[in-house]
Amino acid sequence: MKTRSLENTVKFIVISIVWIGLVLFDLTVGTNHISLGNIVDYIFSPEQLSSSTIFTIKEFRLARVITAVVAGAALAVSGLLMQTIFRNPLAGPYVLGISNGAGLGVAIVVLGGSLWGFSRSIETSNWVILLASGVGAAAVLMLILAVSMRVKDVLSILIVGILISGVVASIVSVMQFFSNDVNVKSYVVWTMGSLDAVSFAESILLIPICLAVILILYFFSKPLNLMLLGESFALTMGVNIKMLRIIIFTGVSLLTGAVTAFCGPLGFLGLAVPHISRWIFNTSNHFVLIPSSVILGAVFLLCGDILSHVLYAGGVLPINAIISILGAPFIVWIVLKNQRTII
Amino acid sequence: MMNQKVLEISNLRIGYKRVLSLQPISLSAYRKDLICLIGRNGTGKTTLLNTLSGVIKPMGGDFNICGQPVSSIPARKKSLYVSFVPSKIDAVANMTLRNLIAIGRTPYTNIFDHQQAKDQQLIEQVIAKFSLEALADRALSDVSDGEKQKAMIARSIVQQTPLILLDEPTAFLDFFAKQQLLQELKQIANTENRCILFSCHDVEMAVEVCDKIWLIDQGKLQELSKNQFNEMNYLKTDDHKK
Repeated sequence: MKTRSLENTVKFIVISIVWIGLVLFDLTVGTNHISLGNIVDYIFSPEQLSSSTIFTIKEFRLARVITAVVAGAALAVSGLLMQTIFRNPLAGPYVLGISNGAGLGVAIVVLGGSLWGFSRSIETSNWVILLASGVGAAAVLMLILAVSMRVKDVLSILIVGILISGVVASIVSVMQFFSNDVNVKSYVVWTMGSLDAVSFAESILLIPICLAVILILYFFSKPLNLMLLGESFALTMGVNIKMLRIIIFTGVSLLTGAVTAFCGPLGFLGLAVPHISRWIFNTSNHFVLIPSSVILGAVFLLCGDILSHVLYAGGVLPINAIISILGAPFIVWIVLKNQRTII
Repeated sequence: MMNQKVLEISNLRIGYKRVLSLQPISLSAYRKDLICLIGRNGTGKTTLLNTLSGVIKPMGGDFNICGQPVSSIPARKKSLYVSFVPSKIDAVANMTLRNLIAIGRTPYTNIFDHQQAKDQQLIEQVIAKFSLEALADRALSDVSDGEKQKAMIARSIVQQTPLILLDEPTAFLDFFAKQQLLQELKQIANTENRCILFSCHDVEMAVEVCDKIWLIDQGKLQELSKNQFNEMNYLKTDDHKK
């Protein structure tokens, strides 16, 4: 037992070093040239730097890196908890339709823009987008919660979630059909996901929201561990399943809603990272998996962000595509490795 | 302390989805009792076990565990009175047998599930008692159903509840493993001073080791001694086969 916890500590130190290294490296990546020296100066003696360099570091790099770190962590934790609650290795923040709900909110604002009479582009009205996606995510969450109050079986909730996703996606495509091409393009660009559109002030706003929610969810690790062995077993161990479900769903919706609002629907990460954490730490214990998913989610999204900037010199590739390409091989490999288990 | 009453069921009505499964039940069970619950499929064995373990609510009446009416025990405290061993558990990736057995201590640990030295000692003792040392660090996905079952029973011992309920513990075992398990249950009931109630379809084998039989027949649950049961010639008569 002792050696096990020592081993985990070492692993945590290693992934934390990788995490810090990627944060520093990601700060130097981008269209303008910023060296590691500039970053060090920015931290210790910002007066040596020109104001334009400071602006670039703060508004573009720092904002982007903070977003990657927080969004990666939030989505990874959401995915982990969904997989536990649904006892399904394929669950992620996507399956409940929460990301799609946020997407619908954004679609109503962006695609329906001409209908409502304001045709502001997606870049200049971040706060409207934020509000719309938050409301969209919350609306789907309410629906799911209402269902989960009535339905005992978690699989039925999963099916309802998938159906809601489908319906919402269909509504969006109908809206796309009737919208003009400028708005459609700006919506499609939003769905590709981006960490670059987030300003420093917005990225700072993400930190307390996500940190608070993840911290609260961490305190539910013990009942979550009991849930792994099935709902009725957890019930005999004194877990209040309905309450736990409501807390986890609300937490996941807040995390997914906030991240989706700022960065667009980032798929796949929430599915892949929990599996990577389980594999690295060789445990099913949420007291270990939640913090490790926080770090590995950030590492994963930082890698995706770096690649999306480095691979194509002329601009930034869509991050959603990059993280899927990055994550899929991991999942295939992990599935092939342990075929006999579920989560 | 001897023959302390663990379970006292009075006029308990059980059922599922508002359909009453059985006539009202009034029975008692004591420490060191090993009771086998027998009945045909769909007669309400699992409903009874689920009701006693708190998974479903009784439709009427109540039962006491160690003198406490169950309706007055808060949900999170119930796991100090009853432990339940389902007939089969799914394999959870990266969960070892030791992790599984340690789950039995969760009703006693704090919010961070911190195990104290005495918790760990107890876990190691029980692992040794069940001769699971060699398997303790293996993942659930890498052991047989019988070994998982054994670990799950070890978990319920670690939980130190006066009442242990098992739903068809012999279902996935081979002939010899079944006999061995039943002997082990008998020993646990005696040496650990527990009351054990389990449902079973291996009637002859189970009746052999049990002191008491709870038979569900024609909508009625009745307690029989081994002799009474044998005299009944349950397996040969046709009354309950309809």
